[in-house]
Amino acid sequence: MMNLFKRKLLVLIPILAIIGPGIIAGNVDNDAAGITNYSIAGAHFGYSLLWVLFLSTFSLAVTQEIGARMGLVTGKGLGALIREKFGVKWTAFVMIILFFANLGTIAAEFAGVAASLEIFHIPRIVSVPIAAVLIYIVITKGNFKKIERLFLLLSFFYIAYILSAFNARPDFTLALKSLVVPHLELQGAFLLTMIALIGTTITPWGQFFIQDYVVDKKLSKEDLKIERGDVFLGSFLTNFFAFFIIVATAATLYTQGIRIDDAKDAALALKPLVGQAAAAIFGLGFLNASLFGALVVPLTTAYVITQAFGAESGLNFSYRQAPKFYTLIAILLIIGAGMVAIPFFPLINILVATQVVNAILLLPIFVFLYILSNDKKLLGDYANGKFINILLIVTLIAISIAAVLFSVAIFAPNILEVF
Amino acid sequence: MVYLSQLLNKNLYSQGKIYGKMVDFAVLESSPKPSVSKIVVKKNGKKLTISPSAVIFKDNKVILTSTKLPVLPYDEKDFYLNEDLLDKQVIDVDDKKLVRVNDVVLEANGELKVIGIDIGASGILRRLYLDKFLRTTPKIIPWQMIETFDYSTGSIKISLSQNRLNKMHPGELADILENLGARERMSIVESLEATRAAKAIEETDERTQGAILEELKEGVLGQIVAKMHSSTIAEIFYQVNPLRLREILKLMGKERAKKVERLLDFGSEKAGGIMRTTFWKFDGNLTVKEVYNRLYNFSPKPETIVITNGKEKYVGMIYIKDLLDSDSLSYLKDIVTDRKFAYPEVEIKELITLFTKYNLRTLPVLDKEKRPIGIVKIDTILEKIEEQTRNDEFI
Repeated sequence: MMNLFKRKLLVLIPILAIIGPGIIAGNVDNDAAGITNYSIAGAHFGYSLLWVLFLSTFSLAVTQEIGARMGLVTGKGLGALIREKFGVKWTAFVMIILFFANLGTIAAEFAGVAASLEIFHIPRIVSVPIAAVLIYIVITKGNFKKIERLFLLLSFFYIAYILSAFNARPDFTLALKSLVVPHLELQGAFLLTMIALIGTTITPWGQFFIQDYVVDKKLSKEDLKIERGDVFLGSFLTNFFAFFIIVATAATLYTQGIRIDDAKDAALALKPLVGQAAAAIFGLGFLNASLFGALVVPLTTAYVITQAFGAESGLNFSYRQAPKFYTLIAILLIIGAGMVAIPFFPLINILVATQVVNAILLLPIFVFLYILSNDKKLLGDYANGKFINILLIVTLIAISIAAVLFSVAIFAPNILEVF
Repeated sequence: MVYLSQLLNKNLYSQGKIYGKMVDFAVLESSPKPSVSKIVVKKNGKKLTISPSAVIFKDNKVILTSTKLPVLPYDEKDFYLNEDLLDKQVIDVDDKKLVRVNDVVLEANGELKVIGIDIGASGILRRLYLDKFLRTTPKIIPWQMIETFDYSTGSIKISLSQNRLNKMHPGELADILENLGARERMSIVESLEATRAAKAIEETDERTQGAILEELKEGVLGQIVAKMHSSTIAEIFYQVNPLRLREILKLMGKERAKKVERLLDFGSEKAGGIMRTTFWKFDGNLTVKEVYNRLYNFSPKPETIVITNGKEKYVGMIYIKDLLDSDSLSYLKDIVTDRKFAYPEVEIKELITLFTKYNLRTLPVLDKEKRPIGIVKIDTILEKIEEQTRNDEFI
């Protein structure tokens, strides 16, 4: 018997079985919108937004930890908990906004697919529909476990960002200093990029994703310590890569004064500065992130919405058993891809609106998160401690302020000029 | 017939004036058509409970008949329709699946009684005030056909008969266990009889098995583990927390723990790793009649008997149905159904081919000296096939 126990400790497989949700959730966070925003932040504002990234790492870690903890203890997804605690009306409210916010996010992912393949001279009218069909086939026919591993493996492309960052000979002293010294400019573009940075790091759907993932993996309270490590590591890695993307673009594009609109521009602009190969890898990493996002976001959305209203959902059901689930995925893919594939569609407006909706949706979700994670009846000894509550409230306030500032900058830019 | 959603937050009138709002209804659980025992009224921000006999339903209004209210204690142990039932998951005993309560159906014939729940889209639409625009027929499940949970304690509210869940097929129970929340899952397992619980757990996927074994209370854990196959424990070996695993192995006893170790050595994708190590074997020199006598006291009877020669070496196997057809004086070694076997290293893929090609129900597994050490059953093979075809990672 002792033998068995030793073997168990030696193999350490239990840790490998538990680890994953946090890292994957973090990784998916670096999706098309994420990489685009990091590139823009670096290219337009140099290192000056790095402090936002630094602070948002803690907020991300805290919110993801809460999601994982609630999933572990209750065995229920966030949608189910909202439904049980706040009833049908609040659930419907959250789900409707989530639907539109995620639709925008899906469009952003497809825009990423389109942009990254345009680097390789494939027009979006071809690439986007093919990507959408492929994704639907993978979802319905493929083996999700294998796909997930493939994407995870491919996310090592991000190392290319680290290499390009070093290649660009950045001022690391300044970069590290900018991480901890806040810098604020009261102008629309700066605020937009700032809120976009927060909005792509902490997302409503990411909150649903981590909790559902933990529930689906059937992790239990016993796994909490390891899962916490996983979530913290995931949050750290997400922003670790983000840091290097910003540094890479800041050291090259910002110093040269090159303006960009998306990550494709960044990849193209990087070519003469860091070399053909690095720029190509930058592009491929972007494609990988976009495709993974375009796969995961529709899946999560359909899952959360059908679950909240009590319809059958999940990949182990067939179309006939869970028609609403699969129809919803198809609708999301068609509309999301459609917005990108149709020429002259005001995509930029949609993407900006998505970031606003996402940021606004974060507020009620944070309130729900706060109430639920403090509910002793629900979580018992696993309810929030003081420290976590303080961090959560600070994040909530920060996001609210950012959202207000941003809205002002968008709708009444004149007010800001007074300052 | 009236819906809970139509009653909630409705004003309660007393002498033409608004007295308060009805916010919840308590029911006495222990009857097949439970009647409302208390109405929770919110008055000036305070909750108080009144007896339903003090109100009458008249012209779509609820009127308080007496101002001298008997004060009823607010008891948390009561079962509240809004707090404990609405929006929660319950088990539909008839269809044997989990459903969410979208609305509660009551009957108001003098007395308010719960008659069922609405699980259809109609319930949701009604509560969002959209039922006038989108009409769907309610999907109502009668109260007698559901099993509810007590969400304050997490325990199952066994309202009518505890054995309803015990009567369900382990596979159906397993589906429910896989989809339930953690606390509700445990309460179901603990409410089941140990043998049933063990079978249901064995039918769930590996992750659910791990989660259940990690969270079971110690007393129940011992009873359930005693009824589980060593091979199941071996399968989830690397899923369970090490400390909990040590406890489980201790509960299993030295001998069975050793079996687990042996199974692990073979790996889960080989015959040795998936075989059952408890099986019936008899010396081939016994007559059918003698075997009958030895099996007499055992129930359920084994499906397959492994036959050995005098030196414990494998001769063949016989299905019990063939045994029944045989002359009671013939020797086991003369009436074998099949002589096929596999070594522990044989891969599952090959096993699947063997089982389909020869229509096997059981295949004995032998060690190097040709001594039987276990059997692979068709059930396990089917499970493995299902696992391979299923796409059950996240969502």
